[in-house]
Amino acid sequence: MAPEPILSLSGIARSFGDLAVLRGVDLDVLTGEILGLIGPNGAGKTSLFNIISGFLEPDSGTVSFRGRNIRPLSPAERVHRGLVRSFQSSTIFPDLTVEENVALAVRSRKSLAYRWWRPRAALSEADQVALRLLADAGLEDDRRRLARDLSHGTNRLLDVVMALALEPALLLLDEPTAGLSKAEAERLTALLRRRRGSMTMIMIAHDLDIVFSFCDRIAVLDLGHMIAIDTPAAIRANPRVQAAYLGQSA
Amino acid sequence: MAYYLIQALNAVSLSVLLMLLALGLSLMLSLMNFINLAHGSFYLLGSYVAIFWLAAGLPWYLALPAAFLAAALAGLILDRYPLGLFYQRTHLMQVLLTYGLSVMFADLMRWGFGAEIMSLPMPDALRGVVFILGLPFPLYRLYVIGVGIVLAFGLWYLVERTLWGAAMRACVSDRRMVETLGIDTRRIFTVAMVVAGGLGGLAGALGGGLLSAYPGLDEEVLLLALLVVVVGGLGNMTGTVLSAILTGFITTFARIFLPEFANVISLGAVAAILLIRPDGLFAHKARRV
Amino acid sequence: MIRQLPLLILLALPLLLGDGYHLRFAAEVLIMATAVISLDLLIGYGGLVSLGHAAIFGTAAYAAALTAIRFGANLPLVLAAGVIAATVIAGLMALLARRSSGLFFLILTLVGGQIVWEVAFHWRDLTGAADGLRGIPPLTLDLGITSLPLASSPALYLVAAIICLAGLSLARSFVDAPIGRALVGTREQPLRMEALGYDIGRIRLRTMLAAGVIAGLAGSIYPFVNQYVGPNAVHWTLSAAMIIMAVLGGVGTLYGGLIGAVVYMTIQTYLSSYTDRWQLIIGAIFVGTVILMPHGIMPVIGSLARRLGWRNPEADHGA
Repeated sequence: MAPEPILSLSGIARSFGDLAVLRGVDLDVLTGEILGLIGPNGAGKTSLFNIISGFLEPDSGTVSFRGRNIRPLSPAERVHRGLVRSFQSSTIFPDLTVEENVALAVRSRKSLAYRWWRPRAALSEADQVALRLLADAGLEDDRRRLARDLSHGTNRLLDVVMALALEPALLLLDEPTAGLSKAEAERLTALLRRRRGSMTMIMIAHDLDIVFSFCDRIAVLDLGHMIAIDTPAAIRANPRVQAAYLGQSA
Repeated sequence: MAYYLIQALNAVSLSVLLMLLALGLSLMLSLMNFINLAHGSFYLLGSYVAIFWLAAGLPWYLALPAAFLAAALAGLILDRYPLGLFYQRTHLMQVLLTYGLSVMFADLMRWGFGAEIMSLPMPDALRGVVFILGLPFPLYRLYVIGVGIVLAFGLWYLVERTLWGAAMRACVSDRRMVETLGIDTRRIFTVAMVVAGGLGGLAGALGGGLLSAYPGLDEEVLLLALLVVVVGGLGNMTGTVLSAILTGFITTFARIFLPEFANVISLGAVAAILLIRPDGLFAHKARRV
Repeated sequence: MIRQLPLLILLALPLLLGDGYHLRFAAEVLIMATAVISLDLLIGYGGLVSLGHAAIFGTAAYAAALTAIRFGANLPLVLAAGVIAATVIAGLMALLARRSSGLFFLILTLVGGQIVWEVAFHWRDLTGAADGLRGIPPLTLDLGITSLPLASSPALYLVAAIICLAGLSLARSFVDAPIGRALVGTREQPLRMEALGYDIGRIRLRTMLAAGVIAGLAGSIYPFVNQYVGPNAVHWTLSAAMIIMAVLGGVGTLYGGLIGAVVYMTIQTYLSSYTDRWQLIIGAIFVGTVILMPHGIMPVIGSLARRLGWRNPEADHGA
């Protein structure tokens, strides 16, 4: 018996004015898998992420998360259901320290976000959690540094740590390794593998080496259509995919 | 029936005035991404200039150009300093700067022109009434409607059909790109400020015949212009025009049917519209992420 | 407590030096300062510029005055009435402007505030319309067994000072609490905050309510300064003046509200007796501040204090 897909997209379409970015996308993401989402620039990958995470309304189609329709939910509500995303351009808080950044995420998870008094015990517990997460990612020495002083690689690592702090059931990673050196990218994917647990991941990436080594399945988007979803080996051999990438090394 | 037609025409004349007012503000917002809360001051200046011009017995048909030039000149000076410094700053800083300037201008005008209400000496050519379906309608209001429509059309032409307009519109999207084409973007911004300021003064000169001129009018008028622009949606001059028409009609007919609550109704309508459409009625849907 | 010593000394000064007239003026300054401090929560920490803050403040004043006229001017009663009224208005405004920011927030709060003004200006039976409310009984403190009259200038000043301190500490504790951090986050990166699961509307609502409570405290005793309250107390021009005070003093510093109120109201009151052009001067000072010292006066004082070796409370994130 096949496991219930944790995420189900059906007939997702979206246009910006005359530009049709997504033209009827269907996708079932299986619980616990790591799915790579690739495609040439302009294929609609980030728009798809925006729709899944609630930052963009589709023109039509359904979005089902854990069997429930989540289209009416705001991004914040989706986060509390376990649907978390990272961003392509880093949006951590530059004026806060590394640990303050993570603390923001942890407090959100622990429902401490809106307290207008300081509950000492709960806050210090949350701070402990943040510290553990940082240690796990190898960032505990950087914890008092201001986020704006971080290198690009550390920046992206922090981004992922914050997403993980929200204890996602489904994690959307938008180009997490963009601009990273081989070593830094390795560090990041190692972290993700360690904390995988029962978490499902969808990763947009342009570095095909990472995608092919890290992902269980790969979905290929081109010009708003999903042209293939299969194992890395099968995708590599797929002629339509090769045609779409024309000239890019697979 | 005829009564409602007259009232509708009244609404149109108010709409046209609001439209001219709001367009100056909207122009700066959409072409320069600049909020100017001193716009009301341009209006009031234009009113005073027109009033003094006519009181001095000078040719009435030159009153509008005179007001335009005076306000445009003010815009030119302000563009040099200090507005030009703030074109790239946040909206908040622009709000603060231009509000402070408007306070200064208001006091300067109070000092120069006095605190009493000044009404426009109506030139003979514009005096009197026209009879529409048997009811009298002030000729001046027809003049306002006519001039307003011509001006709006002229502005549209300037922005949409000329090279200046194209350059201005390009500046909003990508200023650096425009500069690589060898166009001096600073000068484009100056032109936009001059035109917008002049437009405010023109609106004031026209409006002087309807609203007179007095200290405090600049604030009232600014409020109206802001409401129109915001309801119409930012960065969208068509939206401003449509919003001006809507506002003019709501205000006029609210005054007729429920005079004590007219203001509350207008304000309530604005609040309701913004509740339902937080970005304004005709806003472009911008990409959030 | 040591940290607060300079402030306490400053606040005690007028009591030792001033006469009746000046004490009353100082009380008014402190009342206004408290309202501006609450506005700073919105502007400095939330990035939300509100032109409707006077409506919140003034509604408290009207509520307090009406309660005093009807039920006597017992301080706790009057404060309760004012705070409740202010919080209700603040909550309504928060709901109205729930999804708006920037210019739209400015306009919506302006619209909301002006609706309040229209009510105050036209509803003669309730608010006295344009004439306002007079015949407000003097402030007292009913302790059951005895009743302390608070109508004298020193007493009024003391009440205002205590309220100002209360407002400051309420604001400070809000900023230091998790929600304060969340608020700053929504100002800096609203998208990221949403992606972290924060409901921006909820944060805004709580901030507005907190600001409403503090402004309500201040507004409650406002009518007792001159035994009068009128529609000007809710007009948007007062909101604009409060914004000027906040910017002059230094947005995002809380104490800046105090400084700004002192500077603005001193100029307004004392300059206006020398020249008619006081608005021009205030406008010029304000413009000068925006151009040359956009962070206001407070940071200047702050760095001076650091220079003199005083340990500075960590500079919080301002606009």
